[in-house]
Amino acid sequence: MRNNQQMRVTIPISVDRTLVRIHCFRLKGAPDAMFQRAIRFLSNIGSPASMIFSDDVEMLERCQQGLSRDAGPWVDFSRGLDQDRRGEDGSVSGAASEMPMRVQFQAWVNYMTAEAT
Amino acid sequence: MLDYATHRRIELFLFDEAKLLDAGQFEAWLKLYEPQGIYWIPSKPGQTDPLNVASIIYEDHAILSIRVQRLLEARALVLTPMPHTTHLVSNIEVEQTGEAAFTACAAFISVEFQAEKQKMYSGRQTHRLVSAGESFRIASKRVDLLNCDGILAPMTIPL
Repeated sequence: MRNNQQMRVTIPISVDRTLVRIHCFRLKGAPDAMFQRAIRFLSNIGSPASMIFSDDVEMLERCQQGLSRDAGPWVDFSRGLDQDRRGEDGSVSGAASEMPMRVQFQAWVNYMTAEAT
Repeated sequence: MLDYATHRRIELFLFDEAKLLDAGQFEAWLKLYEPQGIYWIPSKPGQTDPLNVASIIYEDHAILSIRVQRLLEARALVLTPMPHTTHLVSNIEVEQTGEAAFTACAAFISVEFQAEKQKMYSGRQTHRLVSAGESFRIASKRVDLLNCDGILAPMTIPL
């Protein structure tokens, strides 16, 4: 069973400081064991010592370091570009593709350039 | 009051544990644990409940062995380059809690160095130990980090 009862919130503090908080929520009416499993899962995937989350934060920090230098002003999101294909019910890509990043930034561009209503 | 010889043997056991972590001998470190052993770093000062309150780490032997494999493979971004540590254990107080069971409370400092950056962790640790031949095994280790409820950067080497 999946235990996706966690929410990560990324809070920008200044140009070179970001706080990431993770919250666990309890499903109304669900048994205690389910909440306890979600809590255990949160520690495994989302704590500062997590074997998963610590690498995510490290990547964020190293991207920030890279962007603060003059060399290489671009963040490359091209990985998986040649594997993206559009199915009838939406886009499909490989597990290592950065398509979600491309889609997210395209959505941002769309919102930012939309005519005000 | 616990006899000095036993107290000293437990002190030396804790020093050995620190030395294994500093030497990067994580497999040997894990062997110090009972098969049912638990390694716990609470996220709140004085936290009593590891089940309904999130922890920084609350891991049994199975998950700890994955953590050890990850440390030994040293491929994770956060382990590149591999951090090195100095673990200090001090102010050790041991209490006998059963025929072959002891609780050791101590203060600790761990300094970690990686890629020109130095981090420091400190707090108190509590080992529940059981006798195993001439030595001991860890039934549980609880690490009460001084800044457990503060903002923490990624953590790598066990405390």
